[in-house]
Amino acid sequence: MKHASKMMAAALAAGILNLVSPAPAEAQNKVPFAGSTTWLGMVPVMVAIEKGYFKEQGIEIDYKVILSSADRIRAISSGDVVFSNLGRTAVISEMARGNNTFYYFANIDDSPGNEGCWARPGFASIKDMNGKKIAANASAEITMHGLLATNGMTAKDIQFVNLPPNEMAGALQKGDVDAACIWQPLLDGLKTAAPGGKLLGTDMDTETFKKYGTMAAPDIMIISRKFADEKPAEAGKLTVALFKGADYANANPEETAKIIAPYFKKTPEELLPGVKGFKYFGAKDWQAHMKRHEAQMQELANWLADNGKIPSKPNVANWANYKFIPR
Amino acid sequence: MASTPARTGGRGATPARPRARGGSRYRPVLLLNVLGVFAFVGMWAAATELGWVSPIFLPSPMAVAREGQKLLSTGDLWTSVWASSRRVFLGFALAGVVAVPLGILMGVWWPAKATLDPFVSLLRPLPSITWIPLTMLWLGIGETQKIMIVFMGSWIYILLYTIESTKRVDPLLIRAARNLGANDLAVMTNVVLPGALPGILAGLKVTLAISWSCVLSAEMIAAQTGLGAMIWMAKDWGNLPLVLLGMVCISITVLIADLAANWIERALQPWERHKRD
Repeated sequence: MKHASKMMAAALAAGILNLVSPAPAEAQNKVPFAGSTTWLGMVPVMVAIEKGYFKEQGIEIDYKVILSSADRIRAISSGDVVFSNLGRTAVISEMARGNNTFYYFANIDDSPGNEGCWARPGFASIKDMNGKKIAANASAEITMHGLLATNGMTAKDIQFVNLPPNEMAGALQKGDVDAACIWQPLLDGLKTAAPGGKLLGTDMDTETFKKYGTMAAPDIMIISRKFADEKPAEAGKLTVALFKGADYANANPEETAKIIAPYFKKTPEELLPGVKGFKYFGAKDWQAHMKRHEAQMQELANWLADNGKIPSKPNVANWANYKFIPR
Repeated sequence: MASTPARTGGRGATPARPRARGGSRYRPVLLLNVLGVFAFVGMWAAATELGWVSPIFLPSPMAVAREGQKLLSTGDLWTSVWASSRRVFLGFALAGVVAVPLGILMGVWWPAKATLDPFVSLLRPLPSITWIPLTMLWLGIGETQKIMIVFMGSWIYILLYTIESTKRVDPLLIRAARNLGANDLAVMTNVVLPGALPGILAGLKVTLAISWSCVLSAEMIAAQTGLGAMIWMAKDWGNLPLVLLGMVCISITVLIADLAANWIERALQPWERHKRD
């Protein structure tokens, strides 16, 4: 009996030690990246991981799935994540509150035409949405505002429903909302959920696209300020791998679709049209590319502040850092 | 009215006035409660205003108060409190109406318990958030779905408390009542229900707080009003002072609900009053 009690105590102690002990050394050397598995903008990162471009640079990536951009940036602020590709609306919100825990340094995906609003049958245009329910989330909400503005409307003319991206298809199918705005590949899901519906417009129909040639609120690549300041060489290597991943995705869409299929839990055939329609940006002309995006980001920040979404207008350039990017 | 000092012993002595609730410790306890809260808020303000903690990680109480003022002036804060409270109380009331009679039945009639026990065991560990996808499909994204989330997250706890409270009624009392000629209805209304009531009410009070955490899960999805929706949207826009304001409002609302529940408990159980401070 005494022996059994000692054994139980030893097993319990071992169990507790196992719970509280730190991760093995090899896992601790991984560089954590925060991204989603619902947006094709993450593809260059996935390709760079699977093709070994990060490993070539001596870096191992830990891909942490965090669906919300706002949560990704908080993971960076807390130090749990080193870099992320995320919606710039969340980034600008943090800039407006003086969050200095990150830099932005690249835009690796910008694909106008891949974010739009799909309505149930019976609606011919955005103007028909007067008084109706439109669901949107994150950057798609900015696209929605852009489409409304293009048609002389504002959010006050509709009933805005803030739905998580993965819930929109079901809500649209049931008729709980009359239209939903989201990005690919979820936009295709809306078309399947409400067949015979109408594409009310995409980000290419907004003023932002006409002025800058970009999506309404594209992604932006950010990196922990601490990491970039303390390890600029490693930050540079990360960028080299990312750019390589972007270039590969542009040049090899079929292979890319196969590589990313496990991340999205879809078949390569389902993903290929989306991948072919996406634009990724690598090393070529990245300075000119970022100049355009910085201007767009500042205009978006001004719009968000003027519309009461953020408390102040940040000077976004204060968060730029391109010093570690190899020329 | 000045208190009359009690005189003990002897003919004509004035009976002692019953002690006030809480006795002589009531005022010092209240004072310590208030001082404790002020001290906490003071330390919080000092930590953020003096730069010990960055406002990115912890907004100052003044920032929270400013958000509160903004929402009070537009009336949005009351709208949010009312929207959440309504969902909680409707879901909670529905849970009570279903779970209390069912729990009493399972507590007194073993075939009911034997039949339903496996389902209770399966449903018990499921947090309310796991019901969101199914309830959205069954009920859409309107108020009914949110009330159902509160119901699904709370009815099982009310059921369990009720079953246990019913089973714990002293069987001697039931036998004594039957010996005195009481039929089943009389036993139920005069012995079982009064005997189980303290436990049932205690379970209802505990579950009311659980219902509040359920409503936050419910309001994460397509709710435009409510404290949970307010917190979730504030989170997405990085507005941490508003997140904290939402949390404070939830705590205060539950505190008020608790006080109301305590009052109802005292009213329903006059025979228990002597046990309370």
